[in-house]
Amino acid sequence: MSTAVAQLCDSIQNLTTLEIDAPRCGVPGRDDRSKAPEHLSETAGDDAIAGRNEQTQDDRRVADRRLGGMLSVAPDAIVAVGDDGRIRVFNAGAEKLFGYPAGDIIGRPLDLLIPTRFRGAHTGHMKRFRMSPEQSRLMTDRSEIAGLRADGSEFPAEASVSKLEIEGETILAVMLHDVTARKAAEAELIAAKEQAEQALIQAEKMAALGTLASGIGHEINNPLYAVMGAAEAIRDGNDIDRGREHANDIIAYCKHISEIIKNLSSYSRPAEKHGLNPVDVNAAITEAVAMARLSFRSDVIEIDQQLGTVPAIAAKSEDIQQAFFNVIRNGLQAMSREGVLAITSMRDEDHVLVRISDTGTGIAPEDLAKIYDPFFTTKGPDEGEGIGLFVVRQIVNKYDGTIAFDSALGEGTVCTITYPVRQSNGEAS
Amino acid sequence: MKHKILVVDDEAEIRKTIRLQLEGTIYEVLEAADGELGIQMLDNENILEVDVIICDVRMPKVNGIEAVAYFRKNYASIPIVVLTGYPDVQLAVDFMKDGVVDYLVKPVEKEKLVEAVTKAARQRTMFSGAQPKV
Repeated sequence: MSTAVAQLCDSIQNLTTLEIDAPRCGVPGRDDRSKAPEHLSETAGDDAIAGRNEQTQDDRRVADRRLGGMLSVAPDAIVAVGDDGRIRVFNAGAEKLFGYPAGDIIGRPLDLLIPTRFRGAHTGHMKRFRMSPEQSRLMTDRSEIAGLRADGSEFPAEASVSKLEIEGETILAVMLHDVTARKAAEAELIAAKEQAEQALIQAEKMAALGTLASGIGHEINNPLYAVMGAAEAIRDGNDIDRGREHANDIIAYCKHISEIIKNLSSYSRPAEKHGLNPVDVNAAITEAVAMARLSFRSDVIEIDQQLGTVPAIAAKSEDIQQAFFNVIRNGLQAMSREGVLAITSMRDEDHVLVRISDTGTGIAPEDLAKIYDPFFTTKGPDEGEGIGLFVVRQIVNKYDGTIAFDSALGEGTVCTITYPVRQSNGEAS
Repeated sequence: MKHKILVVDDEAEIRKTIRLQLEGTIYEVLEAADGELGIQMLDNENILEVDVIICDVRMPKVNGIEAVAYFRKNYASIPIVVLTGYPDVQLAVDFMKDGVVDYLVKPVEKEKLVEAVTKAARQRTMFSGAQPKV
């Protein structure tokens, strides 16, 4: 060790006024020759060489001791490895983390601290790092790092490695800490996030159902009223022919009500429980349009559907239908008075492409980036909660699709959704 | 002379049903297929021709809330009965505050409709002096 470094080590020791307990810090002292790493004694040759080697070993022990003294005050686990891949320094943090007393592990291969399945890759990483010009490297951005404790258990770790040139030898100092608690917290956070997203999707569904229920109330009460009026006319009238006419009206009104209920049951159909099914995109569009008509009936908004021949996609039909419904509903709400909602579907190589455009108010450029944010809305308090497009994007992402909006204020909005074709069986038209 | 009832509703089957329920009474039905048309009819016709307005709420172009506000402002002497598929208490309260005679929810029985229209027509006669007979 150079004089300057030795002086630095001494200064640190003086400053910290810590008594360095060599075996405790994991550095074999002069009295620990029996525990000296095997490889050191294996280098012994003739007397002259032996003498030089002894001197070298003494220097190395002094260096190790000083290095150990410096590292012992570090709170993290620090393990230093020599050129031969054997452990040279094992500080108190490392003893605590791995469960080995330093005296037992010093001089043994670093591999002992690594789960078997990672050993090959790890040896390669260390070798490449020794040869690279880098002086230090954070290992966490690489693949999973795990430590192996003395009791055989594993722990996820975050590690950084630094290169120290000491007496012509390259020492790799690995600084580790156990991230079990953090990983668990992260997993909990991800689970909570997923749960919150599911809750949002559910809330959106409930909100849509609320709007739908009010629309359905209107839709059913109208023909119901007509049924009542016709039945009263039969009750109070004497004309058989007019009576038949009223009865025929009642039958037609009942069919209308039945149609409304059929649409509602397809909306509330429980999710398919066994994975994904081939979904007819055009059928999903048609059902979404029927639902949207129930919620936002208007005689002056024209809905123009140009549905091409498209293959089925692998999904849950209710998801696909809900995504279309949310976009169509937004389009209808953007055209409060009159306009045209155009829906086209086509095959675009290995994707199904659906374009939904409206001639409504359009989206301001500054709002375009925020449309997917949960609770972002430009609608009034009774019209939306701002989770519709958030949910649409969740669904589109879930099936590896894409979604894009193109809009001009006062002119309208075009939404393009694509889904990859995964199954060739079942062409829809 | 029959009293003229203007029915403002975008559903043809509803207009037909109201016509049916008022058949054989002293009321004659005029039809407007939405709020805008209802307003046009009143603006263009002699207002004395219409005795009662029956107005729907959810309609394209000009909805029932806007139409009722317009009728109350410009034709305050014509009584209004709101007939809707939406049972909404707040909406009902707002309409009543605005001077609407009755707020009926579809489906409504013939007798109730005739009763509401008669009540409204009586209010109308207070202004015109004529006596309606059912």
